[in-house]
Amino acid sequence: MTAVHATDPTTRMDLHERRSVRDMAIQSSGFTIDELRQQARFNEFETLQAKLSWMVVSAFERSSGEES
Amino acid sequence: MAKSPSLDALSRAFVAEINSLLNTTVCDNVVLQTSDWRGTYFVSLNPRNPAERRGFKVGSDSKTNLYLLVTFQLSLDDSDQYLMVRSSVFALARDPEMTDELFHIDYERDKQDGYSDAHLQVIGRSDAWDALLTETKTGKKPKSLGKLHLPTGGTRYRPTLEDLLEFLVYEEFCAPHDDEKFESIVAESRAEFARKQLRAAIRRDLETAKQAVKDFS
Repeated sequence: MTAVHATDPTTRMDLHERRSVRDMAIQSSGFTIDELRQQARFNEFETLQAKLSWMVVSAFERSSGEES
Repeated sequence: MAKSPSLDALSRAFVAEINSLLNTTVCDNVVLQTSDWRGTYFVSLNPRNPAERRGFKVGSDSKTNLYLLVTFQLSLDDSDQYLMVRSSVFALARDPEMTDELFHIDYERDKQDGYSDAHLQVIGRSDAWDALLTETKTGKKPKSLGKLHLPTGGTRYRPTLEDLLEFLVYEEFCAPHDDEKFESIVAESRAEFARKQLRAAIRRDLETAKQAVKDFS
């Protein structure tokens, strides 16, 4: 059994970095953003990667909405 | 009035609990971390890329190739006081890249049109499923068991990480660090989850809660 780790500090990224991670997430999903959106509508993602990518896309859209 | 805890503080407390649960039961040296996406926090293995498909090893026995991916998307609820899991994924695979996936449990709150908030996708096949899916095929896309979203409940009673850890141990996919302590650690963690869910349910339906207390007093 290992010791419990303390939480590392929260990572913060600027808008440019978050956009870059978002773009990478869409690319790695193998779907277009519209296809991801359609899958998200019913929470019926085709693949694990699609779901993970959508989590990033949706977080980016909420955060960029606040910054715009 | 007391100041509300920040999303940062709540998220870090949450991830500390998850890391503790994992490292005191069936994992070693797992450090999930938080990343701030302005109003949304991620809990993931790689905070600079929460979409990365990467798991951590389950079980201390190096002969067993079993990897778990755990990711949460967190935010404050509409009262701005309480932490809310907006979305989560628990996935199990035979490799750290999660390519040889076995199944994943996917949760996203408040889905529309009657769709289940939580579901299970099992990457597998059987003759019975193949026959059914062939008989009921309508579109051009091939259907397979792995594409099906098996409903597993709504926001309050969705499958938890504790359920998954119990499954891994009770089905003998891995051994816990401590047989005697495993059950109590999982039970306490699950009880805490249930308490939080109960409090959230009461907040959202005070009248029913008041009536229930009256009925049961």
